[in-house]
Amino acid sequence: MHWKFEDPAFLVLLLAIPLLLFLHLRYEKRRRLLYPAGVLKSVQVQGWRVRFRHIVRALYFASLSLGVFALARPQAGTVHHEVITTGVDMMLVLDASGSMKALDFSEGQRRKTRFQVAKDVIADFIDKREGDRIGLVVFGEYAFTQCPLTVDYALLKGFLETLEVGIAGDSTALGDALALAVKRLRKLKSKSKIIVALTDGRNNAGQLSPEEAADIARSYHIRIYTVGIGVEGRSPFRVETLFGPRIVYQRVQLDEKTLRAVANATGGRYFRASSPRELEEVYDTIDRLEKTERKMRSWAEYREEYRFFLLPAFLMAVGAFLLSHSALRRMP
Amino acid sequence: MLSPEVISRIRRVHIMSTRIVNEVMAGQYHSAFKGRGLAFEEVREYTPGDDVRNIDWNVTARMNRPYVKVHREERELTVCLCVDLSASVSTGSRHSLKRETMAEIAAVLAFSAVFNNDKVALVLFTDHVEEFVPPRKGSSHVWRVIRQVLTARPLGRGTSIATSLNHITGALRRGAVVFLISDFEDEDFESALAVASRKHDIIPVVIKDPIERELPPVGLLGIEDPESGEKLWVDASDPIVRRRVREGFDKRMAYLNDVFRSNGLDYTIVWNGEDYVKPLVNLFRIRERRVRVA
Repeated sequence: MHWKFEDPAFLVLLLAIPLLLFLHLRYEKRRRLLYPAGVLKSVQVQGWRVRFRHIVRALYFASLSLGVFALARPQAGTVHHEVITTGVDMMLVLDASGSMKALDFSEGQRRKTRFQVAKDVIADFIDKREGDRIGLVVFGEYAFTQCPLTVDYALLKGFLETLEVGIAGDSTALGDALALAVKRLRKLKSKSKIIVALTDGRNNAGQLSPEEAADIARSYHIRIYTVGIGVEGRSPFRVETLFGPRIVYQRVQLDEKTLRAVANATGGRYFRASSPRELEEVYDTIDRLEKTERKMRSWAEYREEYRFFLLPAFLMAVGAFLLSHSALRRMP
Repeated sequence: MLSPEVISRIRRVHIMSTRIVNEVMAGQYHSAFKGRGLAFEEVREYTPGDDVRNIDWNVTARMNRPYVKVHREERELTVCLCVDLSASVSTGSRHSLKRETMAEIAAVLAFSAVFNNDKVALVLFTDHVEEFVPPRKGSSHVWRVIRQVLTARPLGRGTSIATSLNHITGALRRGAVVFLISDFEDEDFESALAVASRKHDIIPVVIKDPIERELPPVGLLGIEDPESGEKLWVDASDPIVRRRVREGFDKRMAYLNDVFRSNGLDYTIVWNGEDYVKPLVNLFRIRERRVRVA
């Protein structure tokens, strides 16, 4: 909701109101009944209505002010923005395999899994994009489309939020996931089509290898940015045992060579993130690399709201008139 | 020079006053203010029933028939019109200011005096004496008096009855009949009144406007006191206010009555916009009765 005055020039009239008030007060000071007040002063009574004598004037002047506001055409409405240029079409590919449970991306005391960190970073990334169509593919043992390409980022983030590790099995079918993302993008006629894939392991499931998927992507002019996450060496995992949760250290194998090859084959880039900060930087870099200049058309819809000023103004004037002819009648 | 409007007003007042004096008040005024001593007028033939003490023996001897001396009361009287011109008399309802009514009363009294061959003096006062016209006889003099009353432009705003009374006491050597025409919106005149009433025959004519007693029920009333310039608001429709004002006014009039009575003065009240002849005639009647008793 947005308020404005269509003809604010009329508001200058408000400046005349104090002047008018001053003149009226002076006029009233001068217009008096000559009356020997000796007796009146000796009896010391005025009557209670005398105290309310300013009400009429206050009402008249309030009414006048509101009338000026109404004259300035107050309007309320909403501004609509329409994006004319289409941005890039982008599929986000997110690894939900068991290894994403690793706690090596924890910050401070709070233990957070890689998956949680990745979800937060991706959500921020989505917030930064405007005008792009973004979709989401999640993979583990299988790959599936969590959200098709959309400009409804709230929906997209909603889908992202519901994801959990292991939702698609424990192994890593990166090749299938990339191929699925390509399939989603291939028929679109947009200027720029990209895939941003995030994983922490080695392709060990599915029917297609990542390299094969990259070849298909290249044939459709789709660039693939690959992001490998995880620290060097062993990573802590939280394991439920008979004696309660325990932290176990395991080595996670990140297949950097394949990821770099996939990126290079499609004209994208490979990034390595070993901390949440680095991950954020990676996505910021991708965000910058894929900036598109956008043109917007905006228009506004306004309703005339003068009645909210004119009606009280009218009521006040009527009230003042009635009062000045009944209870607060005055002379001269 | 006088404007035509003022001249026509003076003429109107003249005609009206002459009528009132001739038709309504002539006898009343005459008998109300008897002068002191007797003036010889003529001798005429004795008729049975005349007081034998009045027989003029010299004339009787010359004419060889009895003649009596006829006397007339001496009417060498000075009438002083003392008119208040303070700002408070320039108010009034019912189409006329108190001041205009006062001027008419003064004119009627002046004509009455001239008709009875009395001297007329005029004092116009506010917080000081604005104008003093010394006592003189004759109709040309009365014209001057009337013109002064109707056209005077007072310089002061306030009221000082005491000052005017002191001035009269100093200016008039012989005792005079003083008509004190005022709305008595004044304080501290009581002692001056007591002093002046020892030498002069003072007759207060109190002029008040009906709205001073009974506020017009017009709602909130913005008032300015003409003498002090003080501004105030009063709810003229409020029954409590109206009652208090009425009570305050009556109290004031009762106070004036006490002051006048304690000095042995006859006075009259004239309401602005109402007939002023009847109160004057009543006043003269009361005086006539008193003179007769005395």
